[in-house]
Amino acid sequence: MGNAHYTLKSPFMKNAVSIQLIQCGKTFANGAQALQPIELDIRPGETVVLLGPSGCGKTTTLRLIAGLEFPDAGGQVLFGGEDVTALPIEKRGVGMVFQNYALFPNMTVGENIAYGLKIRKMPAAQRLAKIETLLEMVHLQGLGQRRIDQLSGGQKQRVALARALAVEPKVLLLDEPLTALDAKLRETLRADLNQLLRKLGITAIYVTHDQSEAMALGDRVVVMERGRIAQVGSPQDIYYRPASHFVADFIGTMNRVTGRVHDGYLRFAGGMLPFTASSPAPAATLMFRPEDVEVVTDGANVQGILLSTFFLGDRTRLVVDIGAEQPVIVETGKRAAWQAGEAIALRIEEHALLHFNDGATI
Amino acid sequence: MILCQISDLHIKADGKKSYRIVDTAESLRRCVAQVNQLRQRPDAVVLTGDLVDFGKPEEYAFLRQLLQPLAMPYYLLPGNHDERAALRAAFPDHAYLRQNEDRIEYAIDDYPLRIVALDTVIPGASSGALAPASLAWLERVLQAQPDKPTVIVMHHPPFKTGIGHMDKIALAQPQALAGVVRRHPQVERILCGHLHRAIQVRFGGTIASTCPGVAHQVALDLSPQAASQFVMEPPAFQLHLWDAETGLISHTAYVGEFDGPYPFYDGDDLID
Repeated sequence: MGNAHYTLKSPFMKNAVSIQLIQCGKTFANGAQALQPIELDIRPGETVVLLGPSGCGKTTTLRLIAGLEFPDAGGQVLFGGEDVTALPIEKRGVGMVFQNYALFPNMTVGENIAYGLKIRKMPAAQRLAKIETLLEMVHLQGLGQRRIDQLSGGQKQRVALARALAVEPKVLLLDEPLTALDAKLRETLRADLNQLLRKLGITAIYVTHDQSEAMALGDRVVVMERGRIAQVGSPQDIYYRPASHFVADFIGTMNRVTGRVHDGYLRFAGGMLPFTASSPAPAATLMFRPEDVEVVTDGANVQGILLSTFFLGDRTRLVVDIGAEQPVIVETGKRAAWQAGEAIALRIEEHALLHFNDGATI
Repeated sequence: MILCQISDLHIKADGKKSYRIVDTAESLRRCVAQVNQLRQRPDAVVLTGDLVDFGKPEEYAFLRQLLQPLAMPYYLLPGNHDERAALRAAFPDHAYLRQNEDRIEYAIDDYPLRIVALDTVIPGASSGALAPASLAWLERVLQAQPDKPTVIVMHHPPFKTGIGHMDKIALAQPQALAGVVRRHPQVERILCGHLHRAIQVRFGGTIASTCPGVAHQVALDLSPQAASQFVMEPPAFQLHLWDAETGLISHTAYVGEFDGPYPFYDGDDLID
């Protein structure tokens, strides 16, 4: 929120709870499994992002934490070590923010924020002070009297956030809160949300299908695939050290080169790359990120032909045929008059190469 | 338990619109997203026919893609726009579609509310019929579990609607079905599609109803001469909530973004 002198004291920090999911599965009556029994430990005050394609189980997991859904027999949900498995959403002390703001359009911004406080019979003076604090927190100072339909999408979502936080929930749950906003608003609100979550120190679970959101907001990211957890780790872990072929492919852009393994190298028409893993088959695949490929004049280990270029402003994306099954994508900051058909010499460092045995040679 | 009913999807392939007007795919996409976002998620969804527009394999392939995001199990049954073989081929993992070799008729026993599906399709015709074998099968299936609350699902409703052009493509000989249903009081509802409107009729000692279309609606014209026309009234789906004490409670929900919810009260006071 760009305010270096932010002094608001967080009432959440001292109350932050851990969340544990123990053997939490979800099976439908017809036997289909929406969620395999999963284990997840969320630390007090941590922001955890559940990330994955549609149908991966991320929303079901959020709903289990919220108390909108209950796990199969044997599953347990703990808040701060206390078993809340049987408690419905109203009794769990969770605040929720959804994609569609779910604000009350016949109430002002302030009345929306104070709605839960009034139901809890907080005296008026205290309520007004609280509204001011929350408005400041979400950077809507002075807008308490505005009508909801006078707000932009981003402002509405700030009100929704303030309303969720007003009742001082133990846990904040956010279900694709930025998805309905246009790209520019999304980025601003994402940055603000990031600062706010850090400052508040509230335990927060955030569901998204957008990997850049997950990377920017998560202390840790839980990548999910077909009802399972594929990997839990910091954004850096997930990006640099993906645990599986699926995670590597799902996060960011990944090149794949398939060739034959011989004498410690993966060999293909355009060159060879070090291959130290043991491969059960003579053919294998290596993966690497576009930014880990350098266009060089000396010391190349791969030769290719430039197929096409995309100028991205700060860098240029090159599509290069290296005589493997698929062309590779290279990102370079070099300013050159790239010509389709020209020869391109590339260097790919060994430390950037990834290899998975789980179906990598598809 | 909550059973969601979505009806008359009329999905086309290659970005084509139904009758050159209706973006049926987009309508279904919105409905699926909305069903997934319901605070109380349905336990299952039943799709009561006219799943695609011309019964083509590529239409079923696209239908499958559109239904993939549904967060709960779903059950398909054919309408007069469907083609049995192409439907089965596109959903090889939906074993219930093959419970009966010939027609797509099945009973689902996994839920507190039993789902019994009938196939009313006459290949090549817009009207519907129930084969004597289907009625005999229904009699047996209902006899087998007389105490289990049951909904019958089928595409063509077994009643006259008052909308002339639809009554011309109705279900033949509904009395035969009424005879069977009357003997089995566990039948809570007969849930149908075809009409693209919400209609209820007392039938065979139970309630028979049709679900609104999830894309377009049949024009409201209660005349025997009513012309075959559709209108873009709001798309809708239905939620049938099974409550052991009350029985089956049916709600109609509209697809779209609407203002609200607005609270009635601010604290203890009605908003003035």
